[in-house]
Amino acid sequence: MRTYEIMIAVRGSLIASEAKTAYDAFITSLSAKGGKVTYEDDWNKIPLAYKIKKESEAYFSVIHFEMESTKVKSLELELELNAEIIRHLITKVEDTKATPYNKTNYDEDMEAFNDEKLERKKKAMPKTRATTARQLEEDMDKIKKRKTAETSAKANISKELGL
Amino acid sequence: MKYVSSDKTCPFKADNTVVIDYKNVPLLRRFVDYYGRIKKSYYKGTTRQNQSRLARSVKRARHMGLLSFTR
Repeated sequence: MRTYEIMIAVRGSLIASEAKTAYDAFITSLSAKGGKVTYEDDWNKIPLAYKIKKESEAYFSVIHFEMESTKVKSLELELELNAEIIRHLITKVEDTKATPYNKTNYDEDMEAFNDEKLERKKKAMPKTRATTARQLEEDMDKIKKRKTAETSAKANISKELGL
Repeated sequence: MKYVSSDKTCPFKADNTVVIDYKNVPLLRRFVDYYGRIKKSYYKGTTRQNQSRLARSVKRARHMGLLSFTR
């Protein structure tokens, strides 16, 4: 017996209840093969990075189970033929005592990552001249002063030349 | 010979709690460039062992549709 981890992606076009039945059907087939579920984690609907079987979203879930190594291959064959489960990944669990990476961790890390990304974008953006009304007024005054200085300079030049 | 900076240390050396896993997509995103390619280890100074773990998890995440192959 060995502990495995499986991640399955159920079609995103299904309703939540339909996805649940597909998930339950998988669990029953898993236990029929002598698998013992030790951990379950529902990841809900997640947008896919690219389209898989014409789907752009999928219901993900992670399951840890104990099974004979000889039966895993038949489980995998069954998953290949399953129309509702569009992707699956079976991996060995090296450390069974360690707490697995779950959805809440994912959400927290994703939020932090997005914040970091936003900050980087803000830094890269050019600084605007005015962000408040007061700054805008100051800028306008500066422009006005510059313009008056230019016109007076032009007048002086034309006077000296005697035009 | 490729230039390897000596002052760069592995980002996983300081924090032992971080586990490199294919589900940890925000972590993997940091080690993937704009076009979705795996960054070379000499950019961040990741050790050979961790780099191979990263590469494996990135490939797994791509298979599951959590990360994109290209952009």
